[in-house]
Amino acid sequence: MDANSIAILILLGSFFVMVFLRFPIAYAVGLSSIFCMLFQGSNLNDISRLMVKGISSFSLMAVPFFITMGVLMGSGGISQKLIALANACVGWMRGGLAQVNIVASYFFGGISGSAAADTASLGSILIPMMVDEGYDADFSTAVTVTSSCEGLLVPPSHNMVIYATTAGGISVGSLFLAGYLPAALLAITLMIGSYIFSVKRGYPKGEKFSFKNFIIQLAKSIWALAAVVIVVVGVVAGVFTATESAAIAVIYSLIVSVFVYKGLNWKGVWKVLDDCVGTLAIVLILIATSSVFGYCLTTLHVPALAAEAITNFTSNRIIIILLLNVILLVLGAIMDMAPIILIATPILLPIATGVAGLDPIQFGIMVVLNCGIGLLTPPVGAVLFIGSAVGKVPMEKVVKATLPFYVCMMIALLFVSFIPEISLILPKVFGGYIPTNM
Amino acid sequence: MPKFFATMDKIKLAYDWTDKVVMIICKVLLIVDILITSYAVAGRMLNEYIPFLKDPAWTEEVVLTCMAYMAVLSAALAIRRGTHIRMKAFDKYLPKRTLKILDILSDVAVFSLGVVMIYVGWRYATTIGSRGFYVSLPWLSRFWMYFPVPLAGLAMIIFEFEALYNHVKSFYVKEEENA
Repeated sequence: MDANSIAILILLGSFFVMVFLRFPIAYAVGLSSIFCMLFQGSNLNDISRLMVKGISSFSLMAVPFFITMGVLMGSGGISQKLIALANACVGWMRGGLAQVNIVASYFFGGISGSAAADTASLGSILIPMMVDEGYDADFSTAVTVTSSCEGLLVPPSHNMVIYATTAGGISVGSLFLAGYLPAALLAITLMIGSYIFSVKRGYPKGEKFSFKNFIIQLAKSIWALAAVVIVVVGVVAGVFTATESAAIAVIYSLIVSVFVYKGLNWKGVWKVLDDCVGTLAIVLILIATSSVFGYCLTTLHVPALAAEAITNFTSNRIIIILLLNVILLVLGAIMDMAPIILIATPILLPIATGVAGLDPIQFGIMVVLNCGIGLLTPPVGAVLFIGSAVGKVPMEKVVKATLPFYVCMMIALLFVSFIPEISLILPKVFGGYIPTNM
Repeated sequence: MPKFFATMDKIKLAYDWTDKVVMIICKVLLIVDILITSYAVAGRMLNEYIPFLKDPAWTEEVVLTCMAYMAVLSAALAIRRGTHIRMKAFDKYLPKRTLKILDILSDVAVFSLGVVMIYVGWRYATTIGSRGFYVSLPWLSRFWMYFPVPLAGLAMIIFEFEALYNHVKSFYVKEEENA
C-alpha cells in the first residue's frame, strides 16, 4: 500500500469511525483532516487558511439569510394561510386533505426550504385535522413526512446554495429554477399514491372547487408567496445575487410577519432569532471544517480514484447513475443532509459529470432529492422522528405507512435521474442556462 | 466529594451568562449581516435617486468577517446545547454506560481539536495572516479575518470543559442527588 492510499484510509477511515462513535460530524470532519495532514507531513497552518476560506464566500451568506427568512415566515402565522390556499386548489379531490397536505408542502417549501420545519409546522395543523375527518393517523403522518421533501427542491433552498458553492461555479439562479419541476413531479407521484389509498380506504372529499374561494385564499397568501417571487425572479433576472436577494427577503419577511400577518411582535422576532442561530451553529462550522476535508480529498486525488474505481467496475451509464443514487441513498440513511452535500459532492460530482454524463445542475437536484429521501429513512431519518412526534404515532407504524410512498419517491427519483429535461428545461428557457447533456 | 461538586457548581451560573452573552452576540452579528447586505443592495439600486445611499466597498469583507465570528461562536453554543449533528441512530440499542463512554470520548476529542485550533490558528493569525490588510479597509489587519479560528478553539475548550466536568461529576454524584 503506498503512502497516498494510507492517507486516504486515514482520512476516510477515521472519519467514519468517529461518525459511528457518535462524534459531532462537523468536528469528526476536522479531526480526520488533521490526522491525514499529520500523516502527510503537511503544514497544519493550512487548517486556519482553509477554514476561513471555506466560510468566506459571499454566496454562502445566502444560507443564514434563507434560514432566517424561513424561520421568520414559519413563525409569522403563514402555515394556516398556505393550507387554506392548498385546500382551495385540491381540497375537492378524493382524499382531499391528503392532497392539501402535499400541495401545501409545495407552497411552504418555497418559504421554509426545510423538510423538518415543514413537517413540524404543517403536520401539527394538518395531521389532527385529517384524523378528525376519518383518515388513519399513520397514513396522515406518512403523507406529511413524505411531502415535506418537496420543500428541499422548491426554491429558495439553502441546501441548493450549499451544493452550488461546494460544486463550484454553478449558477444558484439556474439551480433554483431547476428545482420546480422535480418538486412538482414528486408532488404528483405522492398525490397519485394518496389518491389510490383514499379510494381504497374511502377517505372523504372536501368541498367543491370554487374559483372565488381560490382567489380569496390566493390574495391572503400572496404576501408570503411574494417572498419567493422576490428571491427567484430577482436572482434569475440578474437583479440581485442569491445572497442579496436572501437579505432583502429577510427584511420583507420581517415586515410581512410583524405588520401584515401580525403573527410576530418584536419580542417574538428577537426570540425567533434563537432558532436561526441554533440552525446556523450546525451548518456553518460544518462548512468551515469540510473545506479542510475537501482540500485533503483533492490533494489525495480521491475524486479521480473514485471515478476510476467505478469505471473499472462498469462503463454502463445507466448502472453508474443507479450506483450514484444508491451511494447517496445509503449516505442519506446514516447522515444528515448538509454533511452529505459537503463531503460527497467533491467526490461524486466528477463521476456524475464525467462518466455518467449528467449535468451538474441535474446532479444537484438528484443529490437534494436523495438526501430528502434519506431524511425519511431509518436509522437516522430526522423527519420521521419529527413526524412520529407531531402525529403521536409510533415510529414503526409511521415507517410501515410510509413504505408505499417510498415507491412514489423512487419513481420521481428515477425520472429525475434519467430525464434531464425535468431539471434542466426551466433553467434553459428562463435562465439562459446551457445544459451539458441536452 | 459531593461537597466539592456543590462548590464547583457555582461556576454554572457563569456558564449560563456566557451562553446568553454569546447568543446575543451571534444574533447581533446576524442582524448586522442582514442590514449591511440590504444596505448595499439599496445603495446599488437606489443611488441614482437617493444620492446618500451608497454601496460601499467594505460591505462584502465586513459581512464575511461577521459571518465567520457568528459561525465559530454559535458552534461553541451548539456544543453546550448538544445540538451538533451526530449519529444517534443506534443510541437506543446501546447500553447507557457505553453511551456515556462514547460521549466522554467525543468530548475529549473535540477538546483536543480546540487545543489544535488555538495553537495553529493563533500562529497563523499572528504571522502570515497579520501581514496583510483588508482590501477595502486598508487600515485593518487581516489578523481579524483569521482570528475566528483560535477564537473557535477557545470557545470549544470553554464549553467542552463544562461538558467534561459534568461527566466526571456524574460518576460521583448520583442523578437523584443531582436533582
